[in-house]
Amino acid sequence: MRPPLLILPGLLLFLFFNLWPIVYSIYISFTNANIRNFPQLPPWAPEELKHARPPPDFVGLANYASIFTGPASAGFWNAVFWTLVFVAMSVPAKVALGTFVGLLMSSEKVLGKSVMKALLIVPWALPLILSVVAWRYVFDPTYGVVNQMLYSLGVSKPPDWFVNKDYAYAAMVVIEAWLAYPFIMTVVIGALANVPRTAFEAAQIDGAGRWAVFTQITLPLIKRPLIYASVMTAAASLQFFLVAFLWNFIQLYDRFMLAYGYYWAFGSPFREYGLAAAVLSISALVISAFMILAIRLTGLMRGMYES
Amino acid sequence: MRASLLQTSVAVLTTFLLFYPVLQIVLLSLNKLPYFRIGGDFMPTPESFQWVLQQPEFWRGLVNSLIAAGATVVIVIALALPGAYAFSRYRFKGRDSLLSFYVVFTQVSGGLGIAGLIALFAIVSALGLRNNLLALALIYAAGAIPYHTWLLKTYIDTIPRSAEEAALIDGAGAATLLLRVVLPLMAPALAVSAILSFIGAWGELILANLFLSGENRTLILWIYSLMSNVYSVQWNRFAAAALLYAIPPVVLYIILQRFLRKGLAFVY
Repeated sequence: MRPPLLILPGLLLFLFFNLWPIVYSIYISFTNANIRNFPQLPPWAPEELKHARPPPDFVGLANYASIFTGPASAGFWNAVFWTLVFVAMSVPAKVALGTFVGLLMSSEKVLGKSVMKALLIVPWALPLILSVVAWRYVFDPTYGVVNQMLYSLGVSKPPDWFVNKDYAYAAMVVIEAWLAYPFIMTVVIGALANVPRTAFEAAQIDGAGRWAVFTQITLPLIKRPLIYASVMTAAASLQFFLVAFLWNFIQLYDRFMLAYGYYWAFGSPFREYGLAAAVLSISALVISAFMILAIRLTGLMRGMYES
Repeated sequence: MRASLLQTSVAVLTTFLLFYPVLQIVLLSLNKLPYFRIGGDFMPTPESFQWVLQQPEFWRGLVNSLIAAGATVVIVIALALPGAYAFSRYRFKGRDSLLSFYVVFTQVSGGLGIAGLIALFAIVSALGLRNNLLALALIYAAGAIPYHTWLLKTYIDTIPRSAEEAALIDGAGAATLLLRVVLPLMAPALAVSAILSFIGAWGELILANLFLSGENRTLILWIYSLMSNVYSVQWNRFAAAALLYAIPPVVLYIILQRFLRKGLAFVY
């Protein structure tokens, strides 16, 4: 059997259900596809029904004009802006929290690390929807621990973390940091696991302070893996969608690129598929461009071919 | 080096704070009252779990989720394993670019999946495959092919070729090599691949929500529907439902960790 025969079945299935829809979505973005003409009916639908549903018309760049400068532009640019703010806020939060916990879990001076590590990895192991359920209760306006604490601190009217747009958005940053710190933590622990203890001890004997040990030894050791992990996790932030979808989509749909596209197609009664496809095609372009740039800049793929 | 009380306390406190959301949802599910407050009364009872187990939607969703996730595992392994073998053992034109494309795709598959959602909706509708659990499994498997092909390839790379070479001299073809010689050596990697693709299908929400309705709804869709009317469902029951839903993937995750500890560190 030749190699193509072994690869093709999987490759074709992947191309048909994953890559072809993206290409096809770009085509849809040049049409007026909406609830009256889209999607097409299955082959066995009665002919008269098919006739009553003519295919979408080609409208050129009308959808792109709408999202860049037209009626949908305010929402679109808002979503792009807040997506970038989200990357800028969540990535440092994730990396800082993950590094902090990772350093603690690599410290010789901390007792009971194996138990704590098992508990700290839990956000990674849980299905996302359970994590969101747990955080909904943490942020519950009445019973949640966050507002309970704000009450006891003397805040008489603590915010509603679901109905208020800005507070819901802030909750997204907190939850994303919580979801991603186990990844960063694991990277940091892995980077420090193979370092001989003597390196740290020698530095201390030489009179290096804690800060000097951190900046001169620890940081250079974790720098490369941490940059790699930061790029990966920035890609995740750029694609943030599911938690917002589960939190309170009506308040958050115009704060994330993908959510804005989803909203026009499936999240609202409007069902403007053509317009939504334009938003999602731009999103796909942004995500792909980010990935290509990240690979170029960090040399991510180097060493992949060696095996 | 001596243990430090300060560092240990900071570590314990941090762990507690980060674990708190999960701890609280567990306590909430066991509480007699529909809510749970720090410092409030905690009366443990299994009533919420009993309520969940009495819901027909729970059992129907469970069966549907098992069908979708089980079918996904079968399709993923049947298609990714031959591909992985070819990538590992043969040199051919386009091999390196296809493989790196697969690896890069895994990092953006979530976002691009949403980006292609409208066209996928059109394709599935035109083929009349909406509300079909096996068609959904096929779509799940399609998205999982790049990652699992790469995953299994890195494992096959570690298997010495001597056994295959001996079989080759005996005149065996690629299919025989794969099934008789390589497959038996692959058990741990296949288990990892099966676990990960099962967890992925079990937790998928967006496509399931778009395509499934009525009797075919998977368990996550029931949890999602409880979430959307959170004011009509008591919080302790909701917590119990979400926890029961999470048991299969969490158990599988723990099993996965054992495989990883045995030296199968190729997953991440």
